[in-house]
Amino acid sequence: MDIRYSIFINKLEKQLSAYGDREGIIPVPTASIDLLIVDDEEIALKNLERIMHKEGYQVVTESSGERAFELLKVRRFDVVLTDLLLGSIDGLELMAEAKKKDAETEVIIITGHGSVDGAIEATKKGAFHYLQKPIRPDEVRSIVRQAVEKRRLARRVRDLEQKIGADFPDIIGNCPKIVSIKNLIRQISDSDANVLITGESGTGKELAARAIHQTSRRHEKRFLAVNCASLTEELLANELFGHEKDAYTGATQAKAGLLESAHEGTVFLDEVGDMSAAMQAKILRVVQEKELMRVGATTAIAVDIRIISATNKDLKALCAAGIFRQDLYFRLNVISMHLPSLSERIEDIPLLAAFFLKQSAKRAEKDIRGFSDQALSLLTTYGYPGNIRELENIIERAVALAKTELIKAEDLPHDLKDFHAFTFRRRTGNMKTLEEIEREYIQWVLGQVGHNKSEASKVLGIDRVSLYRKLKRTVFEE
Amino acid sequence: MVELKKILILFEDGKIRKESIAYGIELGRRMDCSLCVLMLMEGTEKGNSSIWESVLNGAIKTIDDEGIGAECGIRYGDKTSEFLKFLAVGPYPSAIVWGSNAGVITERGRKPGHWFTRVAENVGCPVVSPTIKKK
Repeated sequence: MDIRYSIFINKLEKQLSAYGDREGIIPVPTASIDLLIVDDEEIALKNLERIMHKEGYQVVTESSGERAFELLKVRRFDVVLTDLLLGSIDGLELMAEAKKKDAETEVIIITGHGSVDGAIEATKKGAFHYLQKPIRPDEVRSIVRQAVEKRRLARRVRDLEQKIGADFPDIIGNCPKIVSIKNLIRQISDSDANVLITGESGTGKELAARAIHQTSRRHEKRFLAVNCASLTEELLANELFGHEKDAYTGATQAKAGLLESAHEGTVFLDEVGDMSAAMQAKILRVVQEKELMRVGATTAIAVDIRIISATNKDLKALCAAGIFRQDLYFRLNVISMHLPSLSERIEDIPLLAAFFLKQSAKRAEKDIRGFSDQALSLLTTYGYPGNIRELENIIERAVALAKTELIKAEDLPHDLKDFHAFTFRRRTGNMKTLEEIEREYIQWVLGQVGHNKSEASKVLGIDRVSLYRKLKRTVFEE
Repeated sequence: MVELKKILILFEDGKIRKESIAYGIELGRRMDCSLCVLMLMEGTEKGNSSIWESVLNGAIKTIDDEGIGAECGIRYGDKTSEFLKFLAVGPYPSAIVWGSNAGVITERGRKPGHWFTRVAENVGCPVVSPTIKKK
């Protein structure tokens, strides 16, 4: 074991136990280690496979450099054991591809006589070790074990750093709902599963999506935010999927779409509930088949992206109403996260107000230190239909108007001082679908008109046939 | 990224509380979004539309004078179904400001039996009812 890693791990675990987490290091079973062996000499390949298989690793072998290269494009390995000279593709190119897929993959280079210089160069470029042919079983076992251990420790360090270090500086708040959101983000940091974030406008859905991306293994790749409601369907399709040359008038050259450019990264689809049926089908293909077609293309392009989507609509209700595809809903909603409205976390308002005050005062180059009691009281009793975004705007405006080192009531918008703004919201615990509301409403109207269906259909603004169809469905379901 | 796109100010039966317009304007300005004013009238049009249109135009002028984009509409018929139809066809509002009878929604609760209180809890956005504070 590398002594530096051991010391670092010990330090991190001490810090972690101070935070109340008593979880220890759990050795990774060798059966969960994926090993790729690449050698164009069949006998050497079989020998290595036998030795590593006995060690309990999941072994994949390849005798062709080209095939191994293709395999590394789509699959991650914990350790790659490769010959340096493989024909048209060499071990260094395989190493680059393996590390492109997963920077923590350890690569061991095997060399024949006379190619030691190349092996040393490979080590300089990031190979874990090199082995000279003929391979001695004890030596290869030992080197692979060290590589596995290094990878395990690197993973563990990352996990511990995430647990104790990053506390999501952009997600402000200590209320139980926000703490559980932060915990959920940490829990899913190792996962590649799609996430659906729900919550009212201005609750910080994009911030949460960015935090999920930042803690994931994709954090070094692109985070791409797309507002599905802001573009027309054609523009959205062109922006997301790109186009081939001559796909339409004016497409003088081929262009990669945003989804393609976010390969191995994360795509944030905001207001996903506003996507058209055609766009939903295209996105489903990306999610399901992990491939996309540029506009005007005849062949698909493979993409590896994680999709985080967000909406302030009730997607389940939209599915029930046939507006949103249920298969896409299930694919997007593997992990769901609901962000509370600001009125559900009023204990965080002073903290958030102080945070925005510091930011705005710095931007405005003003020395403002806090809020008067009256101003703080107004801020904490307001309903915030626009949530955190509205609070941020109120503070920014107050900073611009403030003449002293305290924000006073008169610096706040007049409606906060002059109006009571009673705000109420849908109860999130017992939300009804549109279908349920429709059913209840039809029953209520029928009751009001003495169960006269002609009268009821007039009140409902639908024809009698539609009313009968809806009633039939209700009876059938019941 | 624009968060709040549209705020709906909702009136019924020609009753308009000025504070709801003033609050809608403030909220719209604060959130950088446009306003949509909807008047729901019980029954059929019966030639009274010009009266209600002029009432609504006055509200729109006030909003326009403040430099905020606004659109308006009057719907006749059953208020609940007209309101639900309005929500179903247009872009969903990010907040609804209730602008008529202040007693419908108060700090203590909602007026039982009123059509809006039955549906308001099921709309997917915050519903605000502004009233003037007593000095």
